[in-house]
Amino acid sequence: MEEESSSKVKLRREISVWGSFCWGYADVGADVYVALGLVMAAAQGATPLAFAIAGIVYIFVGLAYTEMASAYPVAGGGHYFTLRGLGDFWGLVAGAALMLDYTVDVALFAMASAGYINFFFPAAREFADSLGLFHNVNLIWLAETLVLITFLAALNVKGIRESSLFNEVLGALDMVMEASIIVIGFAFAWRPELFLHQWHNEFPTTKQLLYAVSIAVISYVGLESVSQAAQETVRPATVVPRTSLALIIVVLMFALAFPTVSLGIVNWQDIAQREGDPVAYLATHLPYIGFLAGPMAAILAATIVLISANTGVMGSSRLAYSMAELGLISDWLSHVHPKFRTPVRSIVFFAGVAAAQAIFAFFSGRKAMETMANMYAFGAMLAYFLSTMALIALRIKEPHTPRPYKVPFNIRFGEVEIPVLGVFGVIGTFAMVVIVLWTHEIARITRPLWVVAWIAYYVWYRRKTDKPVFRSIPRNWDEEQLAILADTGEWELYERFRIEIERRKRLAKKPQQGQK
Amino acid sequence: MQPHPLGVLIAIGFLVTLGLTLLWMLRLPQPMPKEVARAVYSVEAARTILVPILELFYSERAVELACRLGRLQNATIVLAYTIEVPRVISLDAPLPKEINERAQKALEHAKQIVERHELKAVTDIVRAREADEGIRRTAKTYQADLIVLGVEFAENRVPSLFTRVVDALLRRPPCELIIDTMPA
Repeated sequence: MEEESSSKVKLRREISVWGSFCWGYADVGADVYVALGLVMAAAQGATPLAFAIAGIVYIFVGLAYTEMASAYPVAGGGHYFTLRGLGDFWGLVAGAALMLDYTVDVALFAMASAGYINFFFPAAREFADSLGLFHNVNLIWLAETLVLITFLAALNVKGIRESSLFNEVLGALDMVMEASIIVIGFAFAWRPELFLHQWHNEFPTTKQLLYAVSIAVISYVGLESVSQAAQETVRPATVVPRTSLALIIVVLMFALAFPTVSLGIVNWQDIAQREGDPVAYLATHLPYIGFLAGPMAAILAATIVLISANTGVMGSSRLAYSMAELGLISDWLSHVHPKFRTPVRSIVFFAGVAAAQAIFAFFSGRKAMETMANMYAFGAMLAYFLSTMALIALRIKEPHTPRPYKVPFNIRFGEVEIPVLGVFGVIGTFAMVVIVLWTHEIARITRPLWVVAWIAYYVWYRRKTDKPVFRSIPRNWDEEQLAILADTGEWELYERFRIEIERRKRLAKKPQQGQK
Repeated sequence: MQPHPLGVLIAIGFLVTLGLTLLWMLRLPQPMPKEVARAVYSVEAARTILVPILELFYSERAVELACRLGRLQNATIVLAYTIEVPRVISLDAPLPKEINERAQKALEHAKQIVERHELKAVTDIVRAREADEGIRRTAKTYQADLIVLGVEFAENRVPSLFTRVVDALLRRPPCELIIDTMPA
């Protein structure tokens, strides 16, 4: 009985508009600290172009997420949209892809945070030891990473209030700092002639550019976080479209500004050599504040990448909660703690998976961060491909669902509107999946294997619980949607949807009466 | 280090765009209470509005009212001209040509009003023994959500203000019913 009652405990709805924005920004803001050096090493003088190409796909995906997250404000994000639009099986595939990304996110960014902390402890940064077959393993850095993952898991177990506040404060601080670097950099140190020189003379090969684009796309996971947090956001149908659209604009601005300002101040090779702390290196070249900028950027980076790791813990646990609720994985994971009202088992389990991936990366014989970054993009792009497909499918299957925000530029067929930008999104994300598989050595083997493992588990679990494997469990989406809207207090949408359902029921009765 | 004008311009543009974006995001519209939402959207629920037509000003005004009520939700306006057929002849018996012409003309005028609002108009000529019966049947056929009925204000006939059609419809409305009349 106690188990049953506790399983009905719902997630608390406490995230504000700023909190919702920071969930997304924490992910993306942190990506610059990790991605800038990696992307620049591949794209060289064309780094802004790599971010811009990735940004175009990001806009399509972002708009699709904005529409779906505001129309279906529940935990789960892309996997929920895919399940609803394309069915249970594809929902599982999208969920597996996103789970991969979140756990990699936790491991990668906890690792990066520890790396930036080690900026102040060079001995720890340079430490390397051999363990049997494994050489050059930095056990101190690994231990720091595992401590940070454990810390974040505990924070999320304690509750969303604490972790959301954590995100909000540090997100604001980070945005001020990042904006300061960019504004001071452009205003006082930027030389357009140096930028143009590098653009013209240091252009990469096509394959290098595509690889860079596939690294640059890791910034997109931020929008997924906003969707993930929708079930805990106050007035999500109103808040989520605003935060998502603002996030699209702000993230693009930062993603394009950082490489542009960098190439106008320093040579791309210098940034590429500092893969671990490119932003700190850039900051040291700023006039007036340069002498302080290195340590400040290191502290800032350590905090913001920790926020991103925190977003990953939150996202993976909420995703697992949603997948279990929808019957894709065991109910055991959907248990919400009666006191903390957080999905404790999911948090602990997937934090454990993230820790295992971090250990794998440190023992892989390559640079640990490079190994993780290599695996990062595949999950996101696969999930986004399925999500943009789901956008189109949902427009066809559920044209009557109220949409507080609609992706612009549509072609109408009767009551169905097909989003042109959604179609572009499908094409763009599919191209990205192909590019990732082509250019990422580790990802092309390990990541499809991860998805296959999830599918195998899913088949076993569905058979064991007498649920259809390739068909979907029958659900009354309309009733669920009404319950969601009532729960969110979005009464405008609730009334519109209720009236629409009644109208459709009346219309459905009409031919039956005719048959009589 | 000498600041470059283009760099300064980009820096200012960056700050302004960032600030405006965040301001827009943070300024949320006020939430709508449940009771208000229910009242507001109950009007928008009228997707099919039936307007009984006669070739008179008050029924044409009812069409205009119906269009304004249905504009937001892009409602379909059903314009029905009801011909009362005496019981001595069958319902489908041929009627004088001029009756049909009057009906067509009245419907044409009404349709022009609907088209001015860029709404979908459906026209029908309905035969019935009693007008209220014809209206009720039409409402059922087209799944009307709302009937807007314009009636002549008959001051001399107070307290029997409305016609027998209105009385009959008010006693047993087939759906939501709005009766419009204007003082002379």
